[in-house]
Amino acid sequence: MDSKEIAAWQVGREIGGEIVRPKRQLAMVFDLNKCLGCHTCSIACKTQWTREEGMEGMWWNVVNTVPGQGTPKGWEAMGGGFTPNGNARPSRIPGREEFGDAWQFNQSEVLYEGAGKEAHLTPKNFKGEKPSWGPNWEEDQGAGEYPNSYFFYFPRMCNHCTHPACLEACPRGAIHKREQDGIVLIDDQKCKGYRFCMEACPYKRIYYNHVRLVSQKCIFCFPRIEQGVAPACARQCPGRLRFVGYLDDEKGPINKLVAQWKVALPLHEEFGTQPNVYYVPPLSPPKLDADGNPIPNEPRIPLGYLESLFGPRVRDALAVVEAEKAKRSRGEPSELMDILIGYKWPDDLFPDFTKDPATLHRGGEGDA
Amino acid sequence: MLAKRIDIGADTLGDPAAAFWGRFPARKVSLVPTPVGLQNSKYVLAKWRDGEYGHARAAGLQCVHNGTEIAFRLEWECEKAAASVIDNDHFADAAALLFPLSDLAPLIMGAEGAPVSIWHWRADRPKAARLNVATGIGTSSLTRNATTPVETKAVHHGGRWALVYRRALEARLPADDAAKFTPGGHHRLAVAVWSGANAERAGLKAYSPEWVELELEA
Repeated sequence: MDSKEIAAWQVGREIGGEIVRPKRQLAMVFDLNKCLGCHTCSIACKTQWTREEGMEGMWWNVVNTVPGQGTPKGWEAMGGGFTPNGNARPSRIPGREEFGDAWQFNQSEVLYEGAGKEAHLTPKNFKGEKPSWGPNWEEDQGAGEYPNSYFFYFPRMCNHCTHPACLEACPRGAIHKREQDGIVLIDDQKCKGYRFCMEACPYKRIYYNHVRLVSQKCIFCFPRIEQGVAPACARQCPGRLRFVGYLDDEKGPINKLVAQWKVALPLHEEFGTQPNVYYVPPLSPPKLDADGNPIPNEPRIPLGYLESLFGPRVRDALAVVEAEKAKRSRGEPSELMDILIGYKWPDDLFPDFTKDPATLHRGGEGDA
Repeated sequence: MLAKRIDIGADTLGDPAAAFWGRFPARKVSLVPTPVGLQNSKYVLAKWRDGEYGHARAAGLQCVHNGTEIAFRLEWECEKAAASVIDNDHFADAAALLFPLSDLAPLIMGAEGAPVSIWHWRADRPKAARLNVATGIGTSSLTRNATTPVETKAVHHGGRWALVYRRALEARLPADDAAKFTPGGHHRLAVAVWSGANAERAGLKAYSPEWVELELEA
C-alpha cells in the first residue's frame, strides 16, 4: 500500500489483512537489571501529566514488583489483544479497585480536629471502604522461599503497539497512531468514554477519567518528543535504564539492543499487538542448595517465569548478556555492555532526545 | 402519529409524570438490537457477536406542543435503573431521539451530506440532552452551535423509565444543525435505548428500524 494514501487514523489498523505501519516507530528499551524500584519514572509522569481532577488514580507508568498480580490486579489473565489468527480476544474493563485508585485519608480528623492521639490516618477507597488493592500493593513481595526467594522490579506503560488493540476497538476512530513516530494517542475531543479501548488493551494500561468522562493513557510525552526532549519517565530515571529512540536507527541503542544484539524482548508477544516497549531480562545469582552452596546454571529467578513474560527467546537473550558481561569482566571490549551501562548521559540513552527541557522556550502569559 | 397542540405551560409540558400525558395514547415503537454487522469495531464484533444487547423491545412515544414548545415523552421497560457511573465498568441508561436534517438522511446515523440530529439523554446527566450531529456510524459529535437547548426530565418508577425531552418549537439561529418543527408540518424521527446494566453504549443499543412519522397539529 502506498503510504501517501494512508489516512492518519488508518495507521496501526489491519486493512486487507495487512497492518498499516507508521513511517517510523519510536520505542523504549528497559534494562531490568538496572531498575531499582524507586518509582521516579512514575512520579515524573504523574507530576507532568496526571495531576488534574479525575486523574488522581492514574499511573500511566507503574513499577510493579514481580512475580505478582500487578496493576491492575491480575491484568495478565484478563484477555484482550488478538488471537493467533488475528481475531480480537474478548476481555473486560478493569475496575477502580483493581487499578488501586486514589485513596482518601482522614487528614482533617487526625490533624485538625483534635483527635490525633486516638485516631490514625486510615485510607478509604472510592467506595468509602478499606482498600483491598493498590497500584503498588505487592511492593518487594516476590516469590520463592528463603534463601531462594526472588523478585524484580517491572516498569510498565502503554506499549504504543504496532497493531494497537485499543485503536481497532474504538468505534469512533478516536484513537490514532502517528505516522511520523508511531505514538498512539486518544483524541479526547472525539472520545465519548465508551471504554472499549480499556477492554481491548491486553496490557490494561488505559484509565478512565470519571470527571472528564474520557479514557486516558500514556502519550509517550509527544510534546517533549517534538522538542527533542526525552519522555519524562526516561529522562528522570536515576537508574538510567530507559533507552528511547527509533526502531530503525541502526546506530541507536534501540535497534542495537532489539535487532542486532537481540537482548531486548517484548512483553507477552503472544497478545498479538506488537508492543514497542522492550525489556532486557534480569540476570540473577544462582540458587542455593540446602547447605548454602550455589547450584550452577540454576538462576534464582526461574527461567520458566521469565519465559512466561518474554517468550522462549529469553534464554538466548540472557545467555548473550551473560557472555558479554563475562567478556567485560575479563577486560575485553563489549559493545553490548557499553550500551547497557550507558556511560554518557543522556546521549547514550536517548541520542535523538537529549535536549534539556529547562532550556526550552515556554509560551505563556506575557508571551507574544 | 399526531402531536396535539395543547394549551399547557412549559413546566408541566416537561414533566413526565404530569397527568395530561394520560389523555394522549402512546404510539408503540418497536425496537430491535443494532445488527452486529453494523458494529464499527472488530473488538465489539468479537465480544458481542453472540452476546445479548438491545434489551428494550419497545418504547411508548408521545408528542405534544403548545405553539412555542414541543415535548416528546418516551417510556420503556427497564427493570433496574442504572443512573450513576461510579466504577470503570458502570454505564448509565440512555435514550436518544434522532431527527433527519435532510430528506435523504438514512435512519442509521445519517450519511455524508445527509446529517441527522440526535438528542442524547443519559441517566447520569439527567437535566439536558446532549445534542449531536452525525453523518454516518461512529461520526456523532456535539453540535457546535447548539443554540437551542433540549431540556430533559426522567423518572424511573415500577420498572419503567419515563422521559420527556422539551425544546422550543422554533430553533434559534444559527439552526443548521437543529431539528426544525412547524405547526401543521410533517416530520420524522427514530428512537434508541441503551440498557446501562448490560454495559450497552455506542452501537450496542436497541433502535427503531423504521421512521416514526409525525404530524404537528396546526
